Amino acid sequence: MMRNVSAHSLFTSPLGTASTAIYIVFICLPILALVIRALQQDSFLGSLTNEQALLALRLSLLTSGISIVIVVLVGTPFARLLARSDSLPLKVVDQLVELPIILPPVVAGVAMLLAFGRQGILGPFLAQLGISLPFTTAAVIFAQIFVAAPFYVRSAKLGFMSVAREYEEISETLGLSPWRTFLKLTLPMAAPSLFTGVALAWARALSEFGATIMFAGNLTGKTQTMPLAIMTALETSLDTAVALSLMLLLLALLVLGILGVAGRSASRAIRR
Amino acid sequence: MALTAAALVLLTMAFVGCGGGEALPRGGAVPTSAATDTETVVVFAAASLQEAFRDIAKAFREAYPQYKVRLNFDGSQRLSLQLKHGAAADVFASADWAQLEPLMETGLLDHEPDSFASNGLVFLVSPELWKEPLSDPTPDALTPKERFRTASGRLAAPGTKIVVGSEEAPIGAYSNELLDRMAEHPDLGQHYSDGIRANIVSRETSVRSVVQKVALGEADAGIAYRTDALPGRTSQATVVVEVPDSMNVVARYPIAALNDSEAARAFVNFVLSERGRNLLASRGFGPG
Repeated sequence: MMRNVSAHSLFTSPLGTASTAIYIVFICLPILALVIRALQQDSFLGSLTNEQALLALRLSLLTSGISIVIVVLVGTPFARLLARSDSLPLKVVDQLVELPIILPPVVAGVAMLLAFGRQGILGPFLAQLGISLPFTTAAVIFAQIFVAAPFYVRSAKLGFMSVAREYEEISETLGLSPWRTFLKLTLPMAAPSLFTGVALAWARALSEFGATIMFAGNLTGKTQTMPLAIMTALETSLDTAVALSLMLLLLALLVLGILGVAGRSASRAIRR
Repeated sequence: MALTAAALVLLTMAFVGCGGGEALPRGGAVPTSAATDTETVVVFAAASLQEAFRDIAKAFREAYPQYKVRLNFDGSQRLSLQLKHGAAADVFASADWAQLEPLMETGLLDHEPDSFASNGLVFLVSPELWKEPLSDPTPDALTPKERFRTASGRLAAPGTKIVVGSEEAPIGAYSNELLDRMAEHPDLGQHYSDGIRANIVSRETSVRSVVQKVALGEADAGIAYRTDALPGRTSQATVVVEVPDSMNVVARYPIAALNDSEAARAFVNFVLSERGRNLLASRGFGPG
């Protein structure tokens, strides 16, 4: 106990204050600079409402939305399995799941080309079905799922692990079917972690750049998401790029805010 | 014991804090001031100049052992943007004049730029697309003009996947100009360039990405520089279709020193010299 207190006071002392200040300046200043620069320009609204920006925004919302739905649908049962399994092969899979997090996105893009591209491993098979993935909106979604899924699965797995096995066993001895146990007990108890996972994965999908430009290319309205539009705008007009960046920032804050509120109300519901 | 440990943590953190603070200006603001006896010339050059400028840098170092050269290649529009926002470089060689304008306006150029090389465009075509339609005569038996027309027809056919440079990049602007010229040309016409424009699946940030996506076999065709067709730039299987001179655009490459250092001047003069021009010519560039 004594030790806890002294460790705590160590970090509330000037050391804690100083590191907090440094951290806040380092994170907030660039974002603040973006806002200031965006508000300084006269053509701020004009930049936001030009056609290319709106197409990019629509595409970003559409693709990241589809990506996150697929990630949740496939990732939830998978994460539940990982959380409860002790088998060696699954432990290996568990380690591999997080690989896309440390993989540079451009490498991810090259890997996707080599797997799903026309000359890739599945290319001839896909061609027989009349499917060609590179340079399509589907390729954007593929790239987003590849980089974003690990964030959801990792968080969901931790959420499921936090639900004690005994609760589920009790529920089942009380006569609830495994499905009902999962839906009525496990899922609500893991909900805060699931919401955190959705927020992280969605943010990663929304900001995805490297794998997208490699695997899906850059075409307005089809594969040019907000990050790609910002990069393209940057090459002619910093003002437009700043305006688009601010728009993406506000959008991300909005969705993260909604998910945060949803996550908190979920955890409050459990405590009750 | 606990106090010693706490003091140690504190000390370490303070130390790390200081180190971080010091490292920022050293790494960020003055990246060129490497502590060496030899002076370093930092050269920002268009992506298409990669091989030619490597040759030139090597020859330059032999001629001027007192200077070191550091090369940085990217789409000229990106280099121009970086320079405008304070990237430290001594020489800028761009694939078009448009990228120099923002630098001239802000007074970043030390003197009037010189045109040092020229280039033209070609179609890079995947072997599959080149051989596919059987109704056409064997493409290899054609005259250059017929070859170009055949290729244009295949590029414009529905379903062909074409990659070009983004409109911001010099290669994209030149490609646009070429398509406009094709539309006006009596041998071709509007439907060719409209068909090709409709088939564009991606606009890449530099010519390097265009070449790469055709070489990887992901795109059926791309519009690149004539110099990209030389061995080593693209895969051997890629078919190169020359654009007839009557339609081709002339890409002019300007170079300028960004400060009045002797090293920067020496490098620019070397590129403009007989030796520099010969090295550029051996990589397929025309006179400036």
